[in-house]
Amino acid sequence: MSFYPLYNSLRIAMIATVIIFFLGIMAAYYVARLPRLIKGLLDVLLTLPLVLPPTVVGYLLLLILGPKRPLGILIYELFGTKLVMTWWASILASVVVAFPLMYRTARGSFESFDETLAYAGKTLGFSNSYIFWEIRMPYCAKSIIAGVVLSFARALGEYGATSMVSGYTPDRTATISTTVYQLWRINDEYGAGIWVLINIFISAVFLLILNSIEKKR
Amino acid sequence: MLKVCIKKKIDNFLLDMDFEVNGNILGMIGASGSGKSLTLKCIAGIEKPDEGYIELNGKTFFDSNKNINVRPQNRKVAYLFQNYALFPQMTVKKNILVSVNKKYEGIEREKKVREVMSLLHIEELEKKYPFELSGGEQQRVALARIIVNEPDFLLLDEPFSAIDAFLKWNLAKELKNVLKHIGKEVIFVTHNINEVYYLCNDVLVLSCGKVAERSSIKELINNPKTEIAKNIVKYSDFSREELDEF
Repeated sequence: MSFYPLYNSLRIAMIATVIIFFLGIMAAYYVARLPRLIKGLLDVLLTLPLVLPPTVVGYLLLLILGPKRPLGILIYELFGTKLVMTWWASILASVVVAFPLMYRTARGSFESFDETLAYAGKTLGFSNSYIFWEIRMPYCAKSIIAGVVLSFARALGEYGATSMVSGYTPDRTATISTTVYQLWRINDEYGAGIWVLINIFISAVFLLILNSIEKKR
Repeated sequence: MLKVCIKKKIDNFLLDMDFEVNGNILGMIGASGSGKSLTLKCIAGIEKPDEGYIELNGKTFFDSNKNINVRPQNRKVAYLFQNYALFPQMTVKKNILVSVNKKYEGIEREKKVREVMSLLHIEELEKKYPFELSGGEQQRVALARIIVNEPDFLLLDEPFSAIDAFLKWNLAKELKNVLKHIGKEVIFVTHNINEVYYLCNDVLVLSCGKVAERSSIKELINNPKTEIAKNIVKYSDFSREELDEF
């Protein structure tokens, strides 16, 4: 039994979570400050992947990244590689699908932040980045951690968009979720069951670790 | 010397301020919504006026004609907020330590923290978090943060609004000593004329975003000229005998 799907799923989920962490926080921080109308419009756009079926997201990604699309052609000409049907295309799919979870939780917490703390920091001479990382982020830490957990769990369990942009190639693009489906499809219930258990185990361990961090704070 | 001549419009409210602070503690009194806090925020650089200028000791903070707007970080103007704005994730000591003026380094920073904690009698609070402190203790910590920051000017925004009445006068006494210790010019905003009488020499009475009256505190009490000043004096729980004891 190859453990490639485990390795691949974990690296995709981890890299995607790191990207989502920074993108989600950045988007939340700037969108929370925009005028109401623009905020409302951007909010719809940035939250859409949460409510759309992942296959629709996958379809849209293929429309942008596909080998016959301008971006796909450009990347192929520049780097000699396709953007789709690779393991890292799954990172992109996971980022798009899980991003709204981080964005929404971070935005909610930024909006409840007491701005006088930032003002106090400014009048005491702190740099804006110090205020952001040492005052705003610790204040919002609980929600941000919740956003990270949700994003990681969502990225780890991503199937629809991932299977469309990366497909299923054993030892190349296979993830736990695509492997479960493929094994079940060929009537290997035992193999599928093992991967289901592995997935449940990882998710439970991850949630336990984060719960204990939460309690310590 | 602080010179302020600014205008700022927010919806239907127009702030139109023109005053100077010269070597003393200036009281600023007025009803809610008269523009007291907005004025302080403009001086600190948190809010940007629409037009005018703000100048402290010859240094221009804001000038709409010359397109100057100095960042709050570079103004060296301290702001004591109504809710004290202590950083909730930091202990009392850390709150003060991070605020020590940047010209001090290493062990000197630590020394400054010790000095100010001793001055304000808050040594025993050093490991506590802001949520574990009473209103009076929070105010002392906020003052400690300001002292170690070594500002050129102080803005105090209703510092006693969250303090129980029976504690207030002890804290006011302490504040008076601390302000003497710092020795900088101050704007002290309040609703309460007794506090102004106790702490300030001059007073600005604000009404609807404008200076309605400026005078010494004694003159204001004995001979208020405008309707708003008359009301402030009339409806205060002012007792000269009681205050003269201080």
